Amino acid sequence: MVLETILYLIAYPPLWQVLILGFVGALLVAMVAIWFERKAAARVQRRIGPYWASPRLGGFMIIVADMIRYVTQQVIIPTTVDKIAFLLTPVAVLVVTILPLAFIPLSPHELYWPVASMEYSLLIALALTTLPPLLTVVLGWASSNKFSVIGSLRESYVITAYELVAVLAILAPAASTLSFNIVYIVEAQQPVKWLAILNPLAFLAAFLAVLMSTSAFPFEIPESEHEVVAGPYTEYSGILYALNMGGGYIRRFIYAIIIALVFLGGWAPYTPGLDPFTGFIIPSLIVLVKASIVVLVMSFLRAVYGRYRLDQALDAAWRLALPLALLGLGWSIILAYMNLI
Amino acid sequence: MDVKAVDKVYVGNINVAARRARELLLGKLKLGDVIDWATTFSLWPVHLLTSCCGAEFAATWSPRFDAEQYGALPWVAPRQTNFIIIEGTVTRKMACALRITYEQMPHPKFVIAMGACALDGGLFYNSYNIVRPWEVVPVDVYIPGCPPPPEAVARAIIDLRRKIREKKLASRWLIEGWRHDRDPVKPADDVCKWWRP
Amino acid sequence: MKPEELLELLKHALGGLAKEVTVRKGYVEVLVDADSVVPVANKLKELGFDHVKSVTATDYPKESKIRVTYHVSSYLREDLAKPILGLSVDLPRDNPVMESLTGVWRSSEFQEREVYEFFGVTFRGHPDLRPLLLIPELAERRVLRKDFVVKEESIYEGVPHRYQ
Repeated sequence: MVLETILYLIAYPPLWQVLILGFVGALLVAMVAIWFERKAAARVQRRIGPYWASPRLGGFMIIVADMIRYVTQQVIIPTTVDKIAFLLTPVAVLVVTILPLAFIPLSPHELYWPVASMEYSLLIALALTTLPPLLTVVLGWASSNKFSVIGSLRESYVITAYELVAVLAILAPAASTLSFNIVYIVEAQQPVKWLAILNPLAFLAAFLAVLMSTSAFPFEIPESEHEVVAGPYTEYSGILYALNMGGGYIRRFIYAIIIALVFLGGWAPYTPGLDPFTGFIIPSLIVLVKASIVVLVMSFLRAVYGRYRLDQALDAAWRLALPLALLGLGWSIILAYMNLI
Repeated sequence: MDVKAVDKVYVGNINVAARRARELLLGKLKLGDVIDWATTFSLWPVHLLTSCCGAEFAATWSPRFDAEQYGALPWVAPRQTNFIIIEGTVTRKMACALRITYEQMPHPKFVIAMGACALDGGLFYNSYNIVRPWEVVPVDVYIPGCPPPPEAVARAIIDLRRKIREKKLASRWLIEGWRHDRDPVKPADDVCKWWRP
Repeated sequence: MKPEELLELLKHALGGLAKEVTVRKGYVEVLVDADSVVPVANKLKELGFDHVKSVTATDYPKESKIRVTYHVSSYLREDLAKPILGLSVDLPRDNPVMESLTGVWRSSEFQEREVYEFFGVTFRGHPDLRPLLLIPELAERRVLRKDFVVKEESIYEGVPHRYQ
């Protein structure tokens, strides 16, 4: 009785959805991604990387130290900025970034995840993920700094090119399963008919577009250090910058969850039961592990690839990624026509 | 206003609430130690390259002498960093850039002066065109050498960390709002007189 | 091309414009008057010398003159790039004014600014004649002329007590 109550409280969907997954989980994943990024880059360059704060954890506490330092640092508000937009936009970025999580089901049962039976959940989640870059443009403009304005201009160029590719490529599974319902798409991939295997073109295009549009590290065109100082975030210091930086990683993580659901089969080899443990906690953990692997692979690319210039990135978007996404869409339609899924 | 009423948090005076929260967090809960610890492991230097010491600065973060294991990550924008390494000679024109860069960094901030030129002129002693960094910004740690080897730079970072831990520089900035162990240096003559935006 | 061949070429090309063309240890020097520096520079450019490697000046206090030297070279013709060619102008020390060569070689712009701030040589027709490396009040003192005296500092003079 008591155990059931506690389990119900832990598994109470809004709590899990917004508090635990939305804030704590996303923050944890962002920190692990940053740590892995620094550590992997260091190991590739035959360095040690973050180490001495906690040698047993491989220096993970250095990321915690960075976070505490950012939170307790002075927040500088320059006199020339638009104060309301300057202060409110980073908070709005974080809120809007977490918003798609409300429409991404991590469990097939409506009892544990109220949007599980919702049609069009993939469409709504995708539509919400395209909101934060607009706020990035706003905060670059509010900073009233030339580097910020140039950085947000680059951001707008990149998202114009790559959001389209990302949306097209992620909608390809919907074309092959004839549904916008994420739960239906996941169930159609049971047990190992994963769309990443059946339709690798769309998966590749989606991966590339997510990498570019969230400005992951090898392709951080809006905030490239060598050209525009920190891009749209040049004037931000202290906790406001931490919000911005965390927002970028969380956005990438949410894209990774969508990719894990629609391409990598979600909880696919596992068949969820009905009670909270087997029906909710285990499937969501499987999805999160898959999404974390996607994020870590994206982080590892930092150490391997060089950065594209803006014109090269746009060229690759319109000449390589968009045809790739369209081919993936066509392949999906063929899959649906031939009843392969 | 009634003093007793002001002293209570629920009156709604935000200054009193902030002071009480600060006393609780930093005084009773000893959060200051955590902040000092965090600052020691998160010293991100801004890269103010003025002369040949920059090569040794680069070597400090290179594969052989990896200073990132102490949590120090070189960063480009001064707004997001918290300490600055003055790499070598500071000419009169560069003094303005140094002061502007220092002013752009958020508190608590620390300064390391690297190389003989930054100490007292070094090779350019008796020159008409140099200033000493301590005339422009308050310096925490000096590194002698011409140029100092990477081990010395890493040693200076460790010394700065020990200084932060012992003197509680980061948390005392939060409590007092200013660092009292270093007087805020105001340059004697205006270092940016030649340049007016 | 040997320096002696270049000397013959220059004597033939410049004619009476150059005051003196000498060669010494592989260094060819063309000494011209301040009036004829632009025609000589144009002639050199027609010969194929397309850029200025350095602009420097030498102070001769006893003879009361400042000699401004342009070291010119060529990217396009490799044989011209081998010997070092200096184009020198003698200027009076109390009022050193000469025509700027930025119209002929654009690469001399910043180096003429440097000569201007360190020696006080004024270049007429320079697009942007401001001090480059020094602050303006220091540039007015013409710090690389030989009568400029640096203030001697004793050791450990300037450190305030609070920094020890």
